[in-house]
Amino acid sequence: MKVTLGDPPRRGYRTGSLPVVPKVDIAVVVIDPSVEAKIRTKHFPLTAEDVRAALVYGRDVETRWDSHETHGLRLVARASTHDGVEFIAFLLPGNEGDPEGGTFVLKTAIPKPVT
Amino acid sequence: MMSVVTDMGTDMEYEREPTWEEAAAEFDAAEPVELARSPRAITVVYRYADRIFTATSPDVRGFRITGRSLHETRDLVRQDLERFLDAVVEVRERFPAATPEISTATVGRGWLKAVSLPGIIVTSSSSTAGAFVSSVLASHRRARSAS
Repeated sequence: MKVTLGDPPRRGYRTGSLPVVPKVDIAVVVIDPSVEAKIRTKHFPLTAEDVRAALVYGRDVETRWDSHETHGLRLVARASTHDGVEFIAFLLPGNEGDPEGGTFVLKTAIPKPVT
Repeated sequence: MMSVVTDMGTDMEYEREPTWEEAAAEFDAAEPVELARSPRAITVVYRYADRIFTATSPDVRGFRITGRSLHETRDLVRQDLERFLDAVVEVRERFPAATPEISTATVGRGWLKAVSLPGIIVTSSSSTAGAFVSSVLASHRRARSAS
């Protein structure tokens, strides 16, 4: 489901479940051990720690808001790890009422297949 | 017969994982938002053992650079991190402790002399290791041998 952004955008203003946040800062990425295990087992050679380092410190990180029917508001980020593995990560805001807070919970990350 | 019920929850980790194509399609359909980073820093720790300098970072797992000299290692670290790090990220370097002399356990005679770190660490060859014995230590030894 895609939600149209409000116009003019205001800081913190919400349209549906998608926040109109002009900018997002990924300062802290929370990783549950089960997510770390899932990424290690299902998405080799990616690890959640690689994803965290890339999202928090890496260059060329692209971020997008997605309003999912089941999971609600998600941040979808595309980046590359230090070892050059390109991936797309799905994160939930750590503080639901403050998507600008900078804290996100990593849910999964999918590596780009090597051709 | 007793059955065990496990709370599987409703989290995404129990669902089928999207393929790369599905994830890319979701990314393309989502609403772009600018990433604005607040100032932050990573730490790079330098170690010396077996005549090799090694740089690692607790903030970037898998980051490991080795070199034959501190100067070379720092250059390699700079090149590597320039390729990976966002421009706002500051790099804080931590060097071996600034003690008058450091003897690595593995080398035994591989002495290091730290000069006003984080500047230059001068390595000596094993044949001239005695040149780095500090004057304080030498005076203690003289006092011991005299008594």
